[in-house]
Amino acid sequence: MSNMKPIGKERPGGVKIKRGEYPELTWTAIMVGWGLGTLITISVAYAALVVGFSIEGSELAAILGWGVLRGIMKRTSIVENNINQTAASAVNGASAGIMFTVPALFILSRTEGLSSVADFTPSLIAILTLASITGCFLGIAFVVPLRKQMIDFDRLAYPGGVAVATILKSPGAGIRKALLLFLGILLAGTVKLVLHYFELEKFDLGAAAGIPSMWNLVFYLSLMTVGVGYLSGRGGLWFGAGGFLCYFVIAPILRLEMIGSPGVQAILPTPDDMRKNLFLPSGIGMLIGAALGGIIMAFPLIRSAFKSLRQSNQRFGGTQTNDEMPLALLYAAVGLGAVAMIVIAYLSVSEMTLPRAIGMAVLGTLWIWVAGVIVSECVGRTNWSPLSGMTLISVTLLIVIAKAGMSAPAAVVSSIVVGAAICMAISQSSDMMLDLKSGYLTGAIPKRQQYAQYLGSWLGPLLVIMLMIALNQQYQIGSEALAAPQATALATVMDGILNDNVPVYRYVAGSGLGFLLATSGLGGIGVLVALGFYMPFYIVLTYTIGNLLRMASDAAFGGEFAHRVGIPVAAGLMIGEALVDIGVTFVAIGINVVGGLG
Amino acid sequence: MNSLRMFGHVLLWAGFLTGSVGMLMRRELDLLPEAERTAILALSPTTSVASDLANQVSGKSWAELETDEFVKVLDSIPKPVEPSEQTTSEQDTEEAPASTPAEEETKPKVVVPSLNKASLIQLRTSRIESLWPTINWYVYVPALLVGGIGAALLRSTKPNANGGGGSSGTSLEPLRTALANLLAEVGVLEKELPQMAPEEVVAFIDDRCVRHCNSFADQREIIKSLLGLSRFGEIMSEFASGE
Repeated sequence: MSNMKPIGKERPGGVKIKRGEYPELTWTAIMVGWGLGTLITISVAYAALVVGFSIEGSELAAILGWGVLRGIMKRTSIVENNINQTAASAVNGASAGIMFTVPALFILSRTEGLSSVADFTPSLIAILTLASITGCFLGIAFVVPLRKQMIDFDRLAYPGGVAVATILKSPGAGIRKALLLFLGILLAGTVKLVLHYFELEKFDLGAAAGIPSMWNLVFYLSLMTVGVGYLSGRGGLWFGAGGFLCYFVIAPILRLEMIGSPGVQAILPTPDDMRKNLFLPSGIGMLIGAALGGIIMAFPLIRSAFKSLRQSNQRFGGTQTNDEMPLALLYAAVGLGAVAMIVIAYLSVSEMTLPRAIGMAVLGTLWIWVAGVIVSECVGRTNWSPLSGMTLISVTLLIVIAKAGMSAPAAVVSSIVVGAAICMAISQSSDMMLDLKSGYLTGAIPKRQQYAQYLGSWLGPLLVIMLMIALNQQYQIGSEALAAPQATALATVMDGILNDNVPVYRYVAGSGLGFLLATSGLGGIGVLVALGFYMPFYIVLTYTIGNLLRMASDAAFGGEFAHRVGIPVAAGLMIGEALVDIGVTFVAIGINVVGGLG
Repeated sequence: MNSLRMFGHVLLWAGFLTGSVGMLMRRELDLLPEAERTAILALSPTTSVASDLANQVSGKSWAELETDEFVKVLDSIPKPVEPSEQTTSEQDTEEAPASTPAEEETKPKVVVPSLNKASLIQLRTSRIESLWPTINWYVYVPALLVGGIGAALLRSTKPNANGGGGSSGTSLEPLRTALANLLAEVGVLEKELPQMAPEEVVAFIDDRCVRHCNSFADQREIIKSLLGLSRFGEIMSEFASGE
């Protein structure tokens, strides 16, 4: 796959410098990606079941990739390591995609009348695996054409992508930048370890200063979040604005007796209650409305992106110099994926009829596109993905179709099977865009990264589904050892949906407001303000510190300073904290395994 | 910022804020029967109820209880939960009823959800035919219209990136300058390339080319306002490939 010729000059380590095309999409990179991806996926999937959050594995894959590719195999290509991290993080996409959805079946099986939903027969396992892999392929196919709009035209920040690119480029970026990166890693890692040791997660400034708790002045103690805010810069301030509107403006208004209905204080006494019951569902609706409004407003740009992709294909006729994946291949992937979704939905339960399977598959496929746009834009602007909110909506939509005419267990199983495919698709969409941003910053060829994503994505579902079944046999999902918080939340909502208890009215009203902001022409504020409604305010507050630091550094030292100093340090903060998180996960797994053996 | 644009901002945000209040001010509680409302409001704000309490007391699920039965179940709650034991979140959990020691050894401890006041209300509203009145549409819809007028004003008064003045040739000048500077650096790179190690090439690009690329990218809105979205897309597509 590469055509490199050695020249006389040598690097300090004695490695001969070669001239020619960089090794990029090589089987070595893919296999290293599979290996590292497997290691990361098993750890992260386990953590997702225990603590309920998932970790983006790209940074770790890039660092370990340097160790394997450069340290052991003496391969120095930045873009080859980029392919390794692309494949590894594609494998890891299944951690969140599956662990946030499928374990809901185990939880729901304890509800009266639903005991059969967790009967994992070989055929159900096969269908679930196929559904997850199909979801991966659909998610990638849908998001690839958006690269031009989000990365080339809108130049979204993608802080996670910047952090990975900084790691990838660190060996050639000069000693100064490498030192700054290392300083950031060291600082965030040390702080995280200390916080972990003392079990500190938040700082309640309001309580310390005697300010009433309703103002919600609680900060997330996370240098990673500050780093993300710094990388997002001034544009991320609207994210903060959404949170401030909720807790500094709307919440106090709702507490006024003459405006809010009686008992707001009695029913929703804490800001957290207000978020869960009012702001979060409204935020989900706003995200959908803002994304749809954004798509309509950006239609000329999207058309231009497709035109550019078509021209690129025609110009190069599919030769190696073309940067873009052939559009025909993407159309084929979407078409085949949609057909596969029909088959999957049809085979998921014996009660399924063909028209209903078509309805679920078509709706699911359309939702993958919409949710892919939403998640990719959110990750691009803030680095946070509303994956669980989008999964919630997809399962709600599916179960509404499924339960009309089917028994409750059949409706639950078929919705979770198709819902897992959607969740996998959304997870792969955001990961693909993050990786494409890293690739953009390191000079990678998008087409090769897209192939690497496809080559990595199929492996994750196989690993995670096997792991989930094994863990359930050993510990029982939903027990104290494996609480599965995300899946428990989804199961609670599904139970509500089965009882016609869905706040559709709030989603609809929220979407109107999101649409309003998206059509105002104030670039991207719809999604950002909506995300401010959706996310916990303590994260928003800390993130805003990062935004303000970037604005202050730009004002005091100019934009160049951010590129020379600020960005490597901020990337280091993100990487340092992520590495400690992963380290702590490994330790937790070790303790559990040793405990289990004992 | 001209006054019309400022007015657009005022209308947009007034509409958004009022619409948000309209969306959230009337909540599900208001739709419940008076007796249920009173019984729920009488509970301590931090009440946490076992999810199977309704079944234990009356043999029915929460949603199946009639109003008087629901009030009775709430009355059966012995005492407010102590602050140290309380949970307030929907997803908070409590332990299942204790099992025998033998069961304890063989079965992993399963957690079952508990209910706070908001969750209780949610369960009871499943009996209500339509929850759409939860939104105060009389406030929400006019607010959305006002916001819509604001959005339209903002779109129609969107300034050119160069402040609205000057000919197209003058306005594109900063972009041309950035590209010319970039071209000059690339020329230097091309000459020195055969003698450079890959790391040196990366460092050269970072140190001498990136600032010109950023300068072009930071001012790209000029293209949008002068040449339209389609041309913007074409130009940025080419620029990104080159970059």
